[in-house]
Order: sequence, then structure tokens, then C-alpha cells
Amino acid sequence: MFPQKREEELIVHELAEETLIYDLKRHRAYCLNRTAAIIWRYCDGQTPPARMKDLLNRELGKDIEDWVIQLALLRLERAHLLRRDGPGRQAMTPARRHLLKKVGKLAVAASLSTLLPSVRAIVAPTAAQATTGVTRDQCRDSPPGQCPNLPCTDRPGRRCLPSGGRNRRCDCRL
Amino acid sequence: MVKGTTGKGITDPSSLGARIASLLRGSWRASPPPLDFPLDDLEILFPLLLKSGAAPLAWWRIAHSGYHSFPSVAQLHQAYRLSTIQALVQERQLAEVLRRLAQNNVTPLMGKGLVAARLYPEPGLRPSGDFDLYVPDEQYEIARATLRIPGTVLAPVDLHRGFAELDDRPPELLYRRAQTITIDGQEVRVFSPEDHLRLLCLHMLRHGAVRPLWLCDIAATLESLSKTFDWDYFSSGSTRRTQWAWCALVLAQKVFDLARDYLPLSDQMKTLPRWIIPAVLREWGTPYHPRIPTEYAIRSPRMILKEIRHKWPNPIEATVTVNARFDNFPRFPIQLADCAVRAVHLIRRVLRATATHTL
Repeated sequence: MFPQKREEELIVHELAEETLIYDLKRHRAYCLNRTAAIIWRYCDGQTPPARMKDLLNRELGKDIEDWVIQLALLRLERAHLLRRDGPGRQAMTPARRHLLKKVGKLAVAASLSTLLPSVRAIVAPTAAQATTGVTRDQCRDSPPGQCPNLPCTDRPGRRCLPSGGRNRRCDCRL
Repeated sequence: MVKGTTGKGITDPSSLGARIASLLRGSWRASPPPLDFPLDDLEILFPLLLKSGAAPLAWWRIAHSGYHSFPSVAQLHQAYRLSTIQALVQERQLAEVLRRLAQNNVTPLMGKGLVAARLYPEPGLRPSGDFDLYVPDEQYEIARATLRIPGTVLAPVDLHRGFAELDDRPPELLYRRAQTITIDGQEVRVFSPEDHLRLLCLHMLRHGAVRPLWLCDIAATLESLSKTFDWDYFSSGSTRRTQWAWCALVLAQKVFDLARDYLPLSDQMKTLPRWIIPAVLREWGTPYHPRIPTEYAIRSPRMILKEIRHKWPNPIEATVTVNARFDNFPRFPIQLADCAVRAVHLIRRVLRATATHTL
């Protein structure tokens, strides 16, 4: 099995200690810790897991066991960060998945978590997180009852608020 | 310099605001100064920082002080990650918006959020929810139609008709001085450093300086100014607005205690109205309260009192609305005048609605 990472429709950004990935297809964001990021980097469709283990050991300067690689691949696959049609890909049996999950939990309990591969989903960014204002058009396009209550940039002094009527449509109001 | 109070039990908005100012001091730099107070004192600020969009900057400074692995700062770390991803996604979205506008011969000028974010060492440190694009009056309808194609989801764009706070300068001049930057392979015109700094100052004041991030933008701009920055051009245009803009610059210098003096002003001009720093800090230390329409509020006496308290205008915002000077004259009459303007608008609207209903 030569795992291959998905490269299309992903935005990847490497930080000092972790890698951030945004899936443009599923609109999900992930944070890979260093172990997971290194393993994902070597998922090039040509590197077998055994070789990955050697490369990871060299980069981290630790003696990592085989199951850590398997756990990382499982987590990356669950996050849709590996290609489903990768060369020589073999399906993981449910029993093996179960075992890996158990091992992962035990390792966390034993405080080995810093070396464990982590692929954490983070909440997708909301567009309105830091918006300072909306135009009257944008305000009127807001779904009824979900007015953003932001200042209307083209109607000074007004905010995007629900109307007093029964339909509660949004408009720029004082 | 703003002095922060120490201790966990702080709850009054001014002290909380002072702590936020201390925490954000220098946070926009590639190597921010290490914290000179214990992390325990800061946890009370986290909800305010998260709401105001300053959490990534707070995280940046805390992480550079060696506290990055503390469980209590996990929320700020998450905000930093989110903001980083958001910035990357936004760049792609913006490129698509600009491509479409270019196809329709619309040439916008971009300012604020994403342009200000370029002053920071990492894009995610300065979150922005939308793109502020400014187009001349004659291009506005075409631009609006381009961005409102049914069935397509484009980036959140705040499309401005005209040049908002910079409308005291001829559009041709703004375009002539504009610079070109590339975002995800697509070129876009941005305001010149002089115009942009003025825009940042005036925009912050118009919104009552409620977000600390806006003052960080100004401080970051001041620290990145080149020697060729044209202060005379910066000061041109409406005299009243120039006085406001200078006031915002002095405010940034004093609140963040900037080491170097960036402003070519006399000492006399560098004195701020005594009410302004307390007003800013009070805003920063107050959780955001969503306003409800006045028509709802006037239905119940209890709600009226509550809303009067929440709708009482911030002295900075009121000064701009009433077009007054930033000086030591008491703000109470100006705030009253602001309320009167709003009340007149409300009465007019109620009368218009009543007339329509009667007809």
C-alpha cells in the first residue's frame, strides 16, 4: 500500500509547529500536528509506510512504532486528505481500525500525545466574524430573522436590523 | 502611556480596556515584546478579545512570550488558526471577484481589512470579514450587478459607492496615487499609504474606535512608514477631517506607548482631549450589545430605559456624526445632539410608515 495525499482543492499553510489545511470541496479545515504533517508530506504514492517510519524517525529524532504510521494514515483518510484511488491502496479492515483507535486512546492516556499524529478538524471560518458593515443590498439579501445587526456602510447611522413587520425582513434602520 | 491594573478581579470596563491595550502593545510586530505581566491576569480578557477579532494578535504576543502550550490560551490559538485559514480562503475568493470586475471594466480601489493585514507579519493575525472595495459613482451599478449574479456565491464584498471618508479628495487623485498589489495572481489597486492611513483613522473614529484592531492597524502603519511618506498630502482635504486623523494618530501613539515619535507635530498638537483615552478603553472593555430597533423598544417602558443606555452614543462616534472637533469641550451636548438627529430620523420614519399604513 503506497498512500497518496489529495492535492486538488486544498489550501495548505505550514506554520512552525503545525500545518493548516482547508478543504475547498467539503469546506472543512484541519490542523495537522508535526507528526501527522510529516507523514502526510510523504504520502506521495511512492513511499511505503515502512519507509515513512524511517523518514519520520529521522526527522523527529525518536523511535516511532509502525502503528503510529497506521494511525496517522487512518486519521488522514477519515479527513479525506488521502486519495481514495491511490496506487496499491488496500482497504483497512474494521477490526484493524478498531484496534488502532484503541491504541490511539491508550497512548493519549499514557501522555504520549505530543508524538501521536493528530488531525483535528477546526470550525470553518465564518465570513461575518469581523465584518464592520454591510451595504443596503447585502442587508436586504440577509435571510429574514437573521439580520447581521451591522452598520450600513451606504446609509450612515443605520444598522441592518429586522423590520417591525410580520415577515421580519432585514433593512438598514436607525 | 496607558497603565494596566493588575489582579484577577477586574471587572470595570476601563480597567479591562487598559489590560487589552497592554496586551496588544507591539503585538503587530514580527517579534513582539514579551509580556511583562502574568498570564493569569489575562484570562478574563479572552471573551472580549475573541469578540473583537483581536484574539490572533493576543495569541501572537502570548506565544512569543513562551506561554504557547498553556491550556488556557487554547481558545486564542484556535482563533489564530481560523483567522489564518480564513485569510488564505479570502485571497482566492477576492481574486475571483477582481477577475469578474475587471471583465466588466470596473477598477475598484481596495482598502482597510485585507490591505491592512499586509502590514502584519502573518496574514492571519489581522482577521477581516469582508473586502472593502471602493468604486466611483459611475461604476457602482455595474460593479453591484457584477457581484450579484443569482446562484453564485462570491466573497463577502463591502462595495462602497464613492470613496467614503476620502470623498474630500478628487477620485482622479486617489487613482493616480494608488498602488498595485497582486493577490492570488490577480492585480488590484490599493490606496496610497497616505490615503490609506487617513482612511484607517477616519473609519476608526466614525465607528467609535470600538475595536482595538483598528488602532493596531494605525500603529502598524505608523511603524512601517517609509521616509517618502508625504505628510503634507496626508493633511490635505477637509480641515476638520485632518484634525480627526491627527487625533487618531496621537491616540495610537499614546495608547500603545510607541517608542519612537512618528508624528511631525508640535507638542501642543500632540495633546489629546482628556476624555478620549478613557472613552476608547471603556469601549474595548465592554462586551458588544446588539441593538434592537427603536420601534420595538418604545413598546415597553423597561425596554426604553435599557435601550437608551445601550444606544447612548459613544463620544467619539457622536463627535464624528455631529461633525464636531476633538477637543476638551464636554461631549455631553454633542452626544445629545447625536441623539436628537437619530430621534428626528425615527420620528420621520414612524410618520412615513403611519401614512403608508393609513393610505
